[in-house]
Amino acid sequence: MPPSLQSPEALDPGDLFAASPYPPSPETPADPTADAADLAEALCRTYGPRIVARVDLPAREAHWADFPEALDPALAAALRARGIARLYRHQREAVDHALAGRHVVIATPTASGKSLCYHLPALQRFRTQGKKALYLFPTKALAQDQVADLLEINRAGALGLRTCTFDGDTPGDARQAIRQHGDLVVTNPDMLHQGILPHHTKWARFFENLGTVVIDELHTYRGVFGSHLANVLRRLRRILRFYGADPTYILCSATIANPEELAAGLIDAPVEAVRESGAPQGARSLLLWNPPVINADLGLRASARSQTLRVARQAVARGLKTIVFANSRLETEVITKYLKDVFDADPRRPPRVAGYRGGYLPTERRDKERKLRDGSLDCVVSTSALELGVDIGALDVCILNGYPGTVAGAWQRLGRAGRRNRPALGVLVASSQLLDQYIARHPEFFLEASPERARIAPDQLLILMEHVRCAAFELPFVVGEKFGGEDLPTLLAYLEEQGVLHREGASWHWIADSYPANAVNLRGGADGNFTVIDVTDGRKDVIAEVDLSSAALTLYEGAIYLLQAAPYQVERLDWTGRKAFVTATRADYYTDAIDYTKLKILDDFERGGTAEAACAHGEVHVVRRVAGYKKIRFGSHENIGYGPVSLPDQEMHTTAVWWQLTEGLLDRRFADRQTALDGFLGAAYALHHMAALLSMADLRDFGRAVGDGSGTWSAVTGPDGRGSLRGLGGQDLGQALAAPRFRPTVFLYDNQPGGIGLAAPLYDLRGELLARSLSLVRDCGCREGCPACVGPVLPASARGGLAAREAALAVLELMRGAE
Amino acid sequence: MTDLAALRERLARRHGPPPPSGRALGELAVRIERLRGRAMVRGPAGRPPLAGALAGVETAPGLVLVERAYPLWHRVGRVPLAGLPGVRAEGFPADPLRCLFLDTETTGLAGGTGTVAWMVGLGRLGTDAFGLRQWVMAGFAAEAALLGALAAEVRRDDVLVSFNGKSYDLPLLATRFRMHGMPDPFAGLPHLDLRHPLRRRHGAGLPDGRLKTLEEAVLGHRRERDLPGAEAPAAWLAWLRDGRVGLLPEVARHNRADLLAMAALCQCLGDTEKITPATARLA
Ligand SMILES: [Zn+2]
Repeated sequence: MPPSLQSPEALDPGDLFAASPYPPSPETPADPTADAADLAEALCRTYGPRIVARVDLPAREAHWADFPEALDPALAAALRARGIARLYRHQREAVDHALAGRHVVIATPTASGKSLCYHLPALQRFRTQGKKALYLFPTKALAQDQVADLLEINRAGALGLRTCTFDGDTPGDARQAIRQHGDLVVTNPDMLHQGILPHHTKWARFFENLGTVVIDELHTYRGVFGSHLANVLRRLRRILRFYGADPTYILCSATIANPEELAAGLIDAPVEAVRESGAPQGARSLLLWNPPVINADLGLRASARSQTLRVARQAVARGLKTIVFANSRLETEVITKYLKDVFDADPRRPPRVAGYRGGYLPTERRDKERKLRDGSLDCVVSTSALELGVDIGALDVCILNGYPGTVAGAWQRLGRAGRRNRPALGVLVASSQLLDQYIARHPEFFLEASPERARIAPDQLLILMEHVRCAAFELPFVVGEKFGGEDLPTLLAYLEEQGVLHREGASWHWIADSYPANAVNLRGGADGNFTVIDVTDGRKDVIAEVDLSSAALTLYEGAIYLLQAAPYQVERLDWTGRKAFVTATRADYYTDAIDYTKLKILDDFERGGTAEAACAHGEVHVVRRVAGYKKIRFGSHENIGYGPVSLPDQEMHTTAVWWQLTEGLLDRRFADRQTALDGFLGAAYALHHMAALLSMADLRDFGRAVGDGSGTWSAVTGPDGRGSLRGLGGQDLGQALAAPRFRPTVFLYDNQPGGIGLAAPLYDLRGELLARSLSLVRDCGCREGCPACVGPVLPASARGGLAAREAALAVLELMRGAE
Repeated sequence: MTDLAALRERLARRHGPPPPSGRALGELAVRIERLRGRAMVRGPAGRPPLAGALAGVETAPGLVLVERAYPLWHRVGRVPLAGLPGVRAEGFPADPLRCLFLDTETTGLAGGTGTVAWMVGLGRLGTDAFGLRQWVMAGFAAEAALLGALAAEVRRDDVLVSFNGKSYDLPLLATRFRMHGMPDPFAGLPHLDLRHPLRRRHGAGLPDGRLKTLEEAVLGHRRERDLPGAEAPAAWLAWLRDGRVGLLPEVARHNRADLLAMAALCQCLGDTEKITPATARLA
């Protein structure tokens, strides 16, 4: 992706040094009778024009159900001792399914008492049948929170359940005892994959008696992670068959469009769904807030942060428990600092505002969570680290500083505000970025659209193959066995040829001296993350982790790496060892990688359109090279120099959707090919964002490029704001503009090697994608183009020729012919 | 997708070319070799070549038993085995007649369920000789028979003696027994793992704590033509794939040398070592 197309998606580092436009001022004291509904009214009165949509959800009453009759008396007594005398209807429903041996997925809103839906069946089966349970959580923090309840029930009733956490921190001498005596084992998919399944014989007693498998936070298992987990669960089921166990699966999900489908896909079995919550809920309002326009020419709006701070100050001043979500760690820090300046100016009083993000130590985070629960904090500013089910109690107000990228993610965060008997308020403040502005203009898309479908592709060949290896290590495969949707004997024959399996008669045995699970990272490419190591003054502290795909763009030698607003310079990059050594610096500039992407079409699976305008999806070969970097001064953004970068090319085969127009069509429509090329870059920007919105996905799940389809040139936006044709090393190939054959092509490619199944569904949506992209660019409030439509551009007066927005619009219109 | 060639192509396109399989032979040649190898394992006529090559007998389909006996005056370096029985040898930590020496050769060091002990040697002192029995699998199908043979060999009052068996051989065998749904006959036996006691007593100044190093330093015995243990996996693999007996006799000899060294080293422990009961492994 050309660097100039990237900057709007990153936080502008210049903001760090800009003075806050809203200096702190004394606040009015809290009004104890005010609630979130009053705040909503006050905001609507004062800021009516900024509120582009308002939704009011009425209060909901509780629907109760009794304990199941067969509930173990000691368990029932324990629940009563914990103040639980009856269940919500959805809890009872889930428990009934599970105890009848039917797999069940619970997809009710945040804070509806989901964990009881699985604690109860697990405890009941333990008490009445001596059955064990396996709990899977995506992260440790979540595991701790959800299990805390269970421990208290267990203690209250002296139920005798031995609960153990088995993860990377479990000491070696405790492991044996857990395997032997654990009744309920809490772990994560990674540990199941690397530490448990390949050693299943040590867990024989546990597996033989396993009655319940719980998978919480189901919605996090999408894309690559979900595809891996589906295969880990295939392996688990294989092992369980070996030990003759057939447990019931209980899965819990936040709001997604397809919980049953995802659950059934993960466990390869039909699943009952519980979607109606019986928990009571106070009235809730949701405001969609678009900052006011401050420069009509440039379509420039006030920053989201300024609006977020405004709302947060009013909420906290009214004594409402408030959470602010920001989309980056940096933004979190900045907002926290500002709110602390306002509310925590007096050092003698306990702080009312705290930040919360991934980088804090676990103990600090636990402390903040506790303070939120017990009400001693009034406001927390958080990254997505708090998005998942971490228990922070009920809050009054939730403010989203910018759209978090997915509809499900937004609802999930907004769900943080909501009390059983008090009104709550959610405010989504749109930033200037494309998706935010799209939602501000089309609130119905956000409010009415069903949340994203979580998709997995467990039969993606590379992923499947990794797990066939792992499975063969765990138990020999035998003729007639099934594993996944591909032809297993062929996969096994391939592995035999690779020398890792040996076929003997009707079975395939692992024969290599290696531990295949160690080579597979469930959360992304097998290549692993880079660690960033601070070596300032002889230190050796790991300060961050960066995934492989962004490492090349952020950790090249000479790069300025920003961590919590502090600049570090990369001194040395150990590419093979996956380490970057950095030192703290006072540099007054940041760096921006100059990279070139070359795409070559290998195969089209499906093709539509005409001879002059085609749309297709298929397999492509992608090569990315970081050729150098620019040094850009903070504040003024002037380019103050260049540096060379020498890194290996990143190559992959993946799937893509592309639109290609011929020179004939373009020459008829455009006065010159340069303008057409500018139009392609703008169209690509709009298509990319709309594709992320329509798929499920993060922007980063797709790559975008404009090239010629045969890997000769790729187009980037040059310093003059215009498109230019470059080779992989950055050499100018401008002469190709005049070539008889000129076929610019927009590619949106699946950013995971091999593809994770994003391209084919996107191709099916191509009509809607193009229509939405067209309306996005056509209806944007800017004059010549802006980050909310075609990307940041120089005004036409500075560039010469057609405005970028018009050019993009023309290209998108021509592409409609390809439908 | 229906055939291997198509799969190979798809994988290669997504992933780059497959890693070399480590065999220089052409594909067809490999297949032919492999087929020939299989034919030899199951050779209908006469004695299977593996048993012959190892000077053993096939006691069950695909399972070869190699037996050797060493007179008690046999020396390992300075130390004769003869010091052991009858008169209770000085420093020997348990009744020598109850000691069951154990050493395995495996498909690798990766651990977990994907590693197999394809050769298991057991040694036992009698009143006039040190008897060694080694079981060797001609293929995976013989594993159950091998495990059964081991189980038949264990007596209730045996004291297990190994070198590094606590962390390696015994967990691995426990896994194998569990994989075949058989009870682990070694579970619960008292177990003397020589590795740490020997290292504590004799390890000072030695470059490492390996059996061979201790054998040279403590017993003054240098093995001739010893195949490094690390080559054992490849030797069995060559046999499996291509039916070549190759280095298997060398591995068997190495396994016997390990057992002999353990028996001799047992006398060099001093009398401070207590035999602690093995912790219960798999149920
Ligand atoms: Zn615009």
